[in-house]
Amino acid sequence: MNPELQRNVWLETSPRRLAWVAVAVALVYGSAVLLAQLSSRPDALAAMGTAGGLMFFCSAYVWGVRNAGQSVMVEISQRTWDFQRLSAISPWAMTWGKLVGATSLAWIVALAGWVVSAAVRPGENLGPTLFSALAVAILLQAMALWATLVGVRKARAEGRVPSLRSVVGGFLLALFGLWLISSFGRLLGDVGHFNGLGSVWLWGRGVSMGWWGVSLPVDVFALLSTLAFAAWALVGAWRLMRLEMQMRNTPWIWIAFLIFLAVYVGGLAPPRLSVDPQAVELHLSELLRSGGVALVLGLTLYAAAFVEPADRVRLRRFVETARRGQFKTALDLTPLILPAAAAGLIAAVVFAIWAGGVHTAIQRQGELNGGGLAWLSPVTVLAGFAFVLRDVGVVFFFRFGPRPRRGDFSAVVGLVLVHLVSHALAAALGDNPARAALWPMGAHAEISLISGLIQAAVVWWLAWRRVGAPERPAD
Amino acid sequence: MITVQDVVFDYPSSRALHGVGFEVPSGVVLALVGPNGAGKSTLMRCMAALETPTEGRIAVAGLDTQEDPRGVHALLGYLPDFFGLYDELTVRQSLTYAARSRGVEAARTAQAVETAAARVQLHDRLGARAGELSRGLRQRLAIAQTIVHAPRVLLLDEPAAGLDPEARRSLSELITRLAREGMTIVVSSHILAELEDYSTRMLMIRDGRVAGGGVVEAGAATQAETAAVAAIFADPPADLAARLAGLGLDVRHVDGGEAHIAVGDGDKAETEVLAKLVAAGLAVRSFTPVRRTLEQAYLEEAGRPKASGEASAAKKAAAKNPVEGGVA
Repeated sequence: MNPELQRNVWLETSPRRLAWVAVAVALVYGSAVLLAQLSSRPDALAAMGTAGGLMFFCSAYVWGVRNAGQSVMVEISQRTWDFQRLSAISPWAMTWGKLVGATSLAWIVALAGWVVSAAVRPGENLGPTLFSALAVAILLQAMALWATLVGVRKARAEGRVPSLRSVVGGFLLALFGLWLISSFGRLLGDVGHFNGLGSVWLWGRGVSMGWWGVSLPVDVFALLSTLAFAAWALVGAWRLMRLEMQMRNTPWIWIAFLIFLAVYVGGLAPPRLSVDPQAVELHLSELLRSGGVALVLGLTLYAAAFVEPADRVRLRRFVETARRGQFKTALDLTPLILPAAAAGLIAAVVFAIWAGGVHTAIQRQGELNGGGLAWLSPVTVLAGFAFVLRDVGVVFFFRFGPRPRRGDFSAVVGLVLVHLVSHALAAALGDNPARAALWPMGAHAEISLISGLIQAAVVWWLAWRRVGAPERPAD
Repeated sequence: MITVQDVVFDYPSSRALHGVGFEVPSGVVLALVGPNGAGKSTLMRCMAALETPTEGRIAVAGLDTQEDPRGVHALLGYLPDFFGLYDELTVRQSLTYAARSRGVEAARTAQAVETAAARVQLHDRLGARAGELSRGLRQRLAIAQTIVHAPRVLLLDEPAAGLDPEARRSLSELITRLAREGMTIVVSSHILAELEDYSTRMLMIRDGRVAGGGVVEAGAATQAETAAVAAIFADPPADLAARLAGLGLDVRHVDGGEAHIAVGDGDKAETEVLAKLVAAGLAVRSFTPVRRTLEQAYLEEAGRPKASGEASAAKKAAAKNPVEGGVA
C-alpha cells in the first residue's frame, strides 16, 4: 500500500472520526426527512435527495477541496514537509496518496450523498451530469493541491512561509482561468460565434455543441472537458511534487499542455463556412480560430509569469548552463514563460497570416473594403505580441525587485500603471500617429511594432539587471 | 564520506554561505559549531539535498546532491532543528510510516520498527500516541524516524535544543552508539558543552564561511590521545615552575599549586612524568589527564590567523556573538 495513502487514512478515517461523521450524516438526513414531514407537501424521498445533493456539494467541493490543499499546508505548518521531501515515495505516489488519503473521509460522505441523490431520481437521465459532478470534484481537489504546491514554491523563493490566503487566491484565479477558457464563446457572444461551456458546465442538458466539427451533447462535452482538465491538474500537481522532491522537470509536459490548450480552444471556433480558399468566409473562420488560440496562449503567458517562483538563482543557472552549452541541464531549468512565449509567438504568426488572408480576400472580392477588420493586419498582430512581451518583462522586473514578498502585488500594480499611463498619453495625443507607439494600433502599425519591441527590450534589460544583481551578505 | 566544495548559497535577499569547503571522513562525528545565524542550518540542508547551492558542489558517499538528490536522500537521515511529528499517530504507526516512506520493504518493516524503537529506547511505548510523549521522548521518536532505514550518514541540526539534562545525556549516549556502529554523523549546535561527549571532529562556521582551520580533531577524539596532564600539589614550593622545568618537563602553565605538563603519547609517558615528580619529592595530590576540549578547540580555531586576515573579525564576532557554554 502507498505509505502516504496509508498514513492519511490512519489520520483521516480513524474509527472515532468515522463514528462522529456517521452520527452527523444521520442527523442531516433525519432532519431533512423530519422537515419534509412537517411541510404541507411531505415528500421524504425528495428531501433525502436534496440533502444528499447538499452533502455531496459540501463534502466534495468544500471539505474535500480544503483537505486536498491542506494535505501539504499542514505538513509545512507541522514541520513534517522536509521529512516527506526526503522520502523514497515517488512523486506520483505522493501526489495521489495525498489526494485520495486526505480527502478519504470527505469522499465517503460525498459519495453517500451522490448515491442518495441519484437513487431518488431514477427516472431522470442524469448520467453525464452526475458523472460531471464527480469529475468536477476531482478537478477542484487536484487544482487545490496544484495551487498549494505553486504557493509553497513561490513562498520558498520569496523567503516566506506559504499562506492559506495566497493559496486560496491562486486557486480561485486558476478556477477563473479555467472557466474563461472553457467559456470562451459565451464571453465573446455574437462577435465570435464560438462555442463554450459557460454556465451550462454543470447543468446544461439537451443542447448539442460542436468541437472541431464533431457535434456532442453539451453535458457529454462538459464531462469530457472536466475530465481532461482534471487530468491536467493532476499532472500539474505531480510535476510540482517532483520539483519539491528535488527532481528535475523537462519542459515537454508544459509544452504538451500548451498544445492541448490550443487544440481545445481551436475546436471551439465556429466551423468553416466555406472550404473555398478564395472565400472570405474561410479566412474569417480561421482568423477567429487562430485569434482565439493566440488570445488564450497570450493569457497563459501572463499566468506563467506569475505562477513560477521568482527564483533568480535558478534563472541565472539556466542562462549560465545554456551559455556553456550544457543544454540538457538548461532544458531542466527552462522557465515556463519561454515555451509559453514561443507558443504565443507561433499562434500570433498564424493569426497574422490569416489576418493578411482576410485582407487579401476582402480586397479581391470587393466586399467589406475598409470595413470593421481593416485595422487588423499582420503587423498589428505582431505589434500586439511585442506589447505582451513588454508586459511580461514588467512582471519580471517587479517580481525580482528588492522586496520579493510583495513581488506579485507590485507586478500587478506595475502593469496597471503602465497601461493607465499609456492610455492617458494616447488620449492626450489625440489623432497624432505617435499614439501608435503607446498601444498596438491598426493605423501606423509599424510604429506600434517598433515601439513595442523597443519597450520590451528596455524592460527586459532592466528586469535582467535585477535578476543578475549580486546578493548582499546576510545581516 | 561528505565532500563540500566551494559552496555558495543565496537566499532571496542575502547570501548565507560564501564558498564553504571541507571534507568529512567516514565514521566520524563532526560537530558543526558557530553562532546563531552563521549558516549551519543552511549548510545542513544543502548537504541533505533539500536545497540547491547557488554555486559549488556537495557529494555524499560519492553521490552529487545536484545530480542525484534522490540517491542522496536514500542514504542519509536528516533531523531539522524544528521537527514535527504526526501527533495523532502512535509511535508504531509513526515508525512504520517512516520506514515504508524511506524505502524499507514491507516484509522488513516490522523488524525495522522494532530495531529503531529499541535503539532510542522507545520499544516500551510503541502503542503511545506521539502527541502524548514528553519533549525528550518526542526527540527520540524523531531520531528513530530518521534512522529507521539505517542510513549511512546522519545529519542532526541542534538535536539537543530544549532537552533537559537527562534527555541530553540519553541523546549523547545514542549518538555515541550510532557512531560506534559506523554511522557518519554531523551534529550542528551552538552549545559546545552538549557536543563534547561524542564529537570527534569540529568545524566552525561563522558568517557563512569556514572559520579556523577547517575540520579539526576535537572532543571525544582527543580523550584517548592525552596531550597534557594536570598535576595538583599539596604544599607547593614557591619555585614550582623552576623545579618542574629543572626535571626536564614541558610545562605549559603553572597556576598556584596546579601545573599543566605536556606528555607524549601513551600511558607510559604519563607514568614517567608522575615518577619524576614523586622522585623529586613533590607532594602530588592529584594527577589527571587533560584533553583538548571542544571549547578550547573552538577558542584556538577562532583565534587562528587566516589568509584573508579574518582573525580579528572572527574575534570580534566571537565577542559579539558568544557561543553558549563555550566562549561566554
